[in-house]
Amino acid sequence: MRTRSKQRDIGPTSGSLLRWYPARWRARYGDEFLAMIDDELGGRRPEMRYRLSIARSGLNERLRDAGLAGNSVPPSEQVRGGALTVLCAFALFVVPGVAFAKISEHWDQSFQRGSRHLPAVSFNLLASLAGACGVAVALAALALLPAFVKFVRAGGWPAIRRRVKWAVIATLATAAVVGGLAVWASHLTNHQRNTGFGWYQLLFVVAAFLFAAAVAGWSVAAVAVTCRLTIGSGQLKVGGSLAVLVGACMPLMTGAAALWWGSMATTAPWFLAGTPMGSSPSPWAANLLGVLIVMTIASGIGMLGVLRVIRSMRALSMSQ
Amino acid sequence: MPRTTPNGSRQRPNDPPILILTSLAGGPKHGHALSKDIEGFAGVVLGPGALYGAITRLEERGLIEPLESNDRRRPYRITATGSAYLAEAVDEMQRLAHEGARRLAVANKASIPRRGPRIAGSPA
Repeated sequence: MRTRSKQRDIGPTSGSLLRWYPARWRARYGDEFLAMIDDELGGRRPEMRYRLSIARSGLNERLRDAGLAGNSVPPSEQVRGGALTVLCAFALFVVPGVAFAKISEHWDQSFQRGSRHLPAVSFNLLASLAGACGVAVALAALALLPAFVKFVRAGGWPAIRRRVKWAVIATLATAAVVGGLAVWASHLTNHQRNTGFGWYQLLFVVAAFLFAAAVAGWSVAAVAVTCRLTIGSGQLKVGGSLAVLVGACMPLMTGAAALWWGSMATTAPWFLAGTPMGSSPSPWAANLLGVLIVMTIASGIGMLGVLRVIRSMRALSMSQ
Repeated sequence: MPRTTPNGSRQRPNDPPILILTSLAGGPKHGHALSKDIEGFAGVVLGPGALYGAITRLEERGLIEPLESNDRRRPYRITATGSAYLAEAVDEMQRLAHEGARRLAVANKASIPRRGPRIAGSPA
């Protein structure tokens, strides 16, 4: 334990630098690390480059501590870390996924002539893969349910209560706003709902942010719970395999969304631009571009998690 | 043979783990003393982040160990495993250096132009 005089030695600046590191690392190396910083700086304020270098090292240690990089933790922890990376990537993917569902609403009613085959194939592929991912996440949650019950019975609830509470609050707020929007929308014409920017559109944006907050809240809660569970190797393999499935589906869904956009741009560009049927507007849509960018980022993060799971599962089966 | 570093990457003479092991081969040192020593013999400045990242990996692999200290500055020393690892790394680097020097010598020999017959009266 640190003495009072030693605590006084740690200035507020060097103390803030230590916050980049995970708690376990701080407990082991914190004091001597700060002593070295104090020796090096001699009371001077650290430069930005110095701070950034420590931040990078601290984040690297955090990744290692979470089992997302290096071999500092056992393979079982690495599988868990990789699977949670995929879960977080999927949560990020859900937000543009829902936006895509909204953008593509009633797309099949916009055809005057020409083939709707390619848009239909890509849209159905996307919807099927999204359904498969949803089932996979639900199955993973079911597989971990016994471990979760055991964790709660052993008195673990207080450790996760705050995160679950925020997720529930965000979900209830989303439900209330979306419910209000649905009632309001039933009293508006199609033109009033989709043109201009008034109170209805503002509430729509609020609902979108609340939805994103609810998804983020449940993801944080899921990570907090999963990190604390005692998971058997069988459950770990099931969870890891499902994570690989979800992670592999995300790039396919992104590709399907891009294909749908491309095929709609050639066969029914007026749907994308919201112009009358038969017109020839530009097929570029900023909202779809944004959706695809976030989907691509989420797919990339998901693939990193998939690679981590595959590598760690191999090491896990070799160690058994 | 230590073909990879404790981080799993390819061995290089200026890798922080090799520099730390080399420094500790001369006796136990704490973080700041290690940094100064490494700067002195290798000309490499290791900041606290890089230094302690490497110390963490080396300790995990049992190549170095902390010593008891009443001070915040905790010294480290190289273990027997660490010495063996460093010896193999040095051996490998020496072999590489010799091979490089040998090949350079051959290349230099081949690139020296042959002198033609001297013409009487011409400057040497």
